[in-house]
Amino acid sequence: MAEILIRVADKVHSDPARNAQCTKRGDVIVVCEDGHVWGEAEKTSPFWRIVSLPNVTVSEASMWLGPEPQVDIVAPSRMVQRRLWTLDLATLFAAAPDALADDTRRAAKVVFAGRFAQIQGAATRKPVLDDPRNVGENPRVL
Amino acid sequence: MSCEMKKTFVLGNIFIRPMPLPKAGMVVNGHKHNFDHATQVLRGSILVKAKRPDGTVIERRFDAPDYFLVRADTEHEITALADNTLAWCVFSNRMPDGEVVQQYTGWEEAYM
Repeated sequence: MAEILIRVADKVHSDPARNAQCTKRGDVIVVCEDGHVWGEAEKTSPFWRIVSLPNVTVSEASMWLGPEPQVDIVAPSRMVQRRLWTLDLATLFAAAPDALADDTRRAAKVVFAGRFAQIQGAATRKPVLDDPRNVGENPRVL
Repeated sequence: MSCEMKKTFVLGNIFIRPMPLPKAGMVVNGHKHNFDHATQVLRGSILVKAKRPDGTVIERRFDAPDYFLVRADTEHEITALADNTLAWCVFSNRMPDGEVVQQYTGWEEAYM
């Protein structure tokens, strides 16, 4: 089953297109198998948390790594986001809210015992970001 | 020679992987997918060699404009027969349980 590294604070950039490519609060950074040996930065960074998901497969969790897709290859958007889904941290940390708030990471890892459907049911699909440089409608959307 | 696929995109409720084959003789090496998918030959001409799960081997030519269905787990190799060939592989969007859904989900195994 899966363990995930998830971001708990937005990474930002002043340029809108680069900001779209920065991972945000609720973004899954990586999905690993049970028992993965996490690095020091992964275990101590205030921006990340490690969540063990004993009832979620790696395949299911891999869905949360998917980026926002391009929808027009003739005029691709600069604003596609690094991750399509934002997970609800209140759901994931319902059993350990202190671990979510604790940037010192005294708890290196928390466990969420629910299934994929529970997490996905509380997840949010990110809205499409408008490119400040584009005006008018996409002629290929009827 | 092998072909590099690039610039996938989502169009409404389907996922499209363009397969540009600029030169005759270019090959998309044998591979298979987890789910059925359609291929549209938009330009040029291709030869498809396929091996079904039961071991049957078939070879078919498709000249644009044309299309065909590749069943799940059918190994297939595609060779361009003309310069400037272009085909699109078209997939349904799916959840991790395989259910077809109306929006892209990010579950990449739907297209592998």
